[in-house]
Amino acid sequence: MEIGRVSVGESVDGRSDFIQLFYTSVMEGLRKVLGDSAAQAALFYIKLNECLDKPSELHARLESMFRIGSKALEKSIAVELQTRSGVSPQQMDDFANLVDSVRQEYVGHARPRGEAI
Amino acid sequence: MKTVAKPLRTRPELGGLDGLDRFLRFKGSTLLIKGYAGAGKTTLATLLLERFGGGVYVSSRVSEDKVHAQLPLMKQMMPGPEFVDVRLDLPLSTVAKVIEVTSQRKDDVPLLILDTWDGMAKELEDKERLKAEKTLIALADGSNTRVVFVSEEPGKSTMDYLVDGMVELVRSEEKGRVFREIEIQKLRGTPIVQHKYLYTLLGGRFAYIPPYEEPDYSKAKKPAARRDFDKSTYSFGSEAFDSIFRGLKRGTAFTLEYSEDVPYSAIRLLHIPLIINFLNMGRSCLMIPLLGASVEEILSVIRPHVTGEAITKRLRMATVEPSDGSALKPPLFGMGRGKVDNEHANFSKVAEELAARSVDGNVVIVDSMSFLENLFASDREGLIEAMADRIIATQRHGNALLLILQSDSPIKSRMLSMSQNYLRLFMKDRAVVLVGEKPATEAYVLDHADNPLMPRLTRIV
Repeated sequence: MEIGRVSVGESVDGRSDFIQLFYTSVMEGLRKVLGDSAAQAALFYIKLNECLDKPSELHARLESMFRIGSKALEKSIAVELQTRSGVSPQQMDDFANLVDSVRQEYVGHARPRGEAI
Repeated sequence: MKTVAKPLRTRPELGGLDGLDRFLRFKGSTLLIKGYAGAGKTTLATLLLERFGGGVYVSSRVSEDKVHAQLPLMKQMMPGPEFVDVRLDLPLSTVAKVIEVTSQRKDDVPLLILDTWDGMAKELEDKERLKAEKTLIALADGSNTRVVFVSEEPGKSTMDYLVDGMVELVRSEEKGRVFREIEIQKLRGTPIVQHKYLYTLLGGRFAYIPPYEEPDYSKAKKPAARRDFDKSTYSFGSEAFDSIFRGLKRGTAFTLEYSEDVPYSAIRLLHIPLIINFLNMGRSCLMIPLLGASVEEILSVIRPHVTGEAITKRLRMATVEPSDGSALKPPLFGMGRGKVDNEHANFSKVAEELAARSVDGNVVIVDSMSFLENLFASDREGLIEAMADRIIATQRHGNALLLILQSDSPIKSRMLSMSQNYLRLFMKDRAVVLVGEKPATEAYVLDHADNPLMPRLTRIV
């Protein structure tokens, strides 16, 4: 998808399993709450590729855009992430901490297969 | 929690429009403007842009050139609003624009207008549209930008429930006249005292009509004398009435019909300038005041603007004869509950005396029919005969006769059939509306000019 000359659906090919999983969870989490059009528009400004490694940065960008509404979006992303990763659901006090916690648990299970983190 | 910005400069077109001004001080508020095509939604949106000193105008309907051509105010604004044309774009471009305006700019944008949101959203499925609308509201909420959605969708829509405020512009027709009303349906956090107002788009600008207010006659100034139009036409004494009715023809009857809720002070806007002008031109005036009106009050309005001689010699005002038999002092004269013929004869005698004192023999006669109807309730036919006689005398002498008639008068049709000109006054949304029936005119709103003696007429277009 493009808005103007900038691509919204940035590629995450070649990045780690978890990053790809997180990327899909963010896309789907936003889409479920905002709908297709609004999710694509939001992703355009969030520049998701820049903050896939830094959930705290994603949190900051969502909050600057949606303010109080960002909580609902983060919750939706978290549900998607936990469902897709198979990690048992956790209480979300802090979005960045939760993503990090899921990542550690997911990677811990995945490492024996020798995949990149 | 929303923040309240500094008070805005008020503009007469919007200032006071029941809470809307106050409501829009809330940063991040969302407003829905609804109405059919041609109702003036874009004109109101333009006024809001002017009010906030600019903003962003997203259009899904017309090009920037057309908006400038159709709405001069938009072009006159300095700096002008940022215009975004999304006619050929997808709805997501609109959402993207809202995100950009509400969260990505260094400088706050005070106002964002989406005109029309329906035009952008109609390509979306219902569920998708609802999500997009919720997103837009969430984006505005807590931002420093007020977002105004313009809609042409009649009836209820999901947006009605999502936005903080909603106004609907309604255009209607009554007896061939256009009326425009703005209905304030909700303004969260702001009390609404009056829900509906008349408005006009005169000169391509949105201007709402505030409720009629009683005049403060202490601020009245002596009106400038207005000469006759020509040998056959008197001036009404006010530019407003002269410009619409082209003066008052000599020897004719002019009838003003009013509904029972029209304030007397509004009715006086027609005859007080006429009387003052006649007296100041050396002519005479004979008046039967409205039933229940204070004769002393009317005199106190006229007296400061004419000479003492005019009051004592050339003005006469009828009042019911005192029951204690005491004498009335000029300019008052008594009318009893005797036979119509006798009272009419007395009245004609007073008219003749006044004509003799008039510089050119001309007299203006102002008759309140409610006074006469009540005085002679048992002899209605006699009253009609007397009035016909008075109209004939008016024709013969070249005087001017102004009949003031309540709309539920039982002799209305008979009196109208004897009148060359006829206008109606009635209340709508607490404003006084004037409509000329003979000749037919557009609807006007009648109120006081800066000089409270003088009328101001605002055409509803």
